[in-house]
Amino acid sequence: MKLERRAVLERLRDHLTESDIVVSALAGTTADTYQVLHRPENLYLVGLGMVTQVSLGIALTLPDSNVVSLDTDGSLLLGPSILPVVAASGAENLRIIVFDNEQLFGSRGGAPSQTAAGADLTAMARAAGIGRADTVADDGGVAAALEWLFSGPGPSLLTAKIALAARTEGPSMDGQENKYRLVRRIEAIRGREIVAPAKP
Amino acid sequence: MRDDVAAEAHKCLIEAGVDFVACMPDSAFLELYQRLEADSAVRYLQVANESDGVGVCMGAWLGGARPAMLMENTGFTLSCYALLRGPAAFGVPMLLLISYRGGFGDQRWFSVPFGWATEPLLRSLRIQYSVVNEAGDMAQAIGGAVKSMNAMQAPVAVLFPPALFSEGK
Repeated sequence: MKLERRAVLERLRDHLTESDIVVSALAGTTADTYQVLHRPENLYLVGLGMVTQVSLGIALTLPDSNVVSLDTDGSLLLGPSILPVVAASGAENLRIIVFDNEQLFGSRGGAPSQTAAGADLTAMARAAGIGRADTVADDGGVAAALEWLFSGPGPSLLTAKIALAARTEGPSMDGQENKYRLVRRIEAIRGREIVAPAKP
Repeated sequence: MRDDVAAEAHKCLIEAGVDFVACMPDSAFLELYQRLEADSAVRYLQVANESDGVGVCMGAWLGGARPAMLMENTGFTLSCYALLRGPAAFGVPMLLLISYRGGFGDQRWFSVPFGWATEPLLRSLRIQYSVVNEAGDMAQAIGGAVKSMNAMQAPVAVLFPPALFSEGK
């Protein structure tokens, strides 16, 4: 059975604690994450080529939380230079899921991405030095793949070869509101103030 | 970078509370990033692309760090997309330390276009910046930049022109 992104996200919830952070890519990934897995610890990044980058920065500064990067084929192909940096960083709490539907803006029927022509994101990650990298392509394998992704120290990367799907409704807040909500949550997790405006 | 300038920049960064540095190494900043990499008070991360460094710094700030990104102005041009899509759109502070290739006095012809573009680009990105001309200006420039980035919830930049580089770098 062809893999659905929403099915992966539904199962992902079982692996998250209240102090774990989720960073999602734009468009369908953010919309599905918002619909299926909305929580105060989510950042809806709405940016290509910087999802795993931002996730790595959070992971390095919040070592007691798992940080889950929900990246995509188009996004990772824009910024693959982050893969060797992830490998060299030793960020054991970074878990990367790459939703690969082999299409750019797949929810609106865009052009095929280079993964449709054979580019293998898992192989790229391994070649960059991320030893724990694997691919799941069928619904029956998702539970075991997520179990593997979160077992043992990261960084670990799972490419999920998913079916195309129609776009759902995304978050009703902008990035600034999302930032403040997330930072206040991280302040609670860390027990330390991050945003502290000067008193008037 | 001259040793006295690197030492002063290092001291000012620590005093300003910078505790996370992403760096795309360039020869102008060699003496500074070596100091930062060796400093246990700083989480230092070498990146392979300046855009990646901006994304990593954004995450580091969200996670509670006070981040700085070291890069040459050539790579700053490469990071403009990430700066707009990330820190500008979300309102995330970070300090950009940029070596000013192609600045006044730089004889390298291939750097000249980056000298032309750097300050107009910063202004078009609405990133406030200052240019450090002497090591003695550093405390004001870096300390002020960190205060401003926190007050504005936005990236700010400090530029280091060729007069501050080591000879031949």
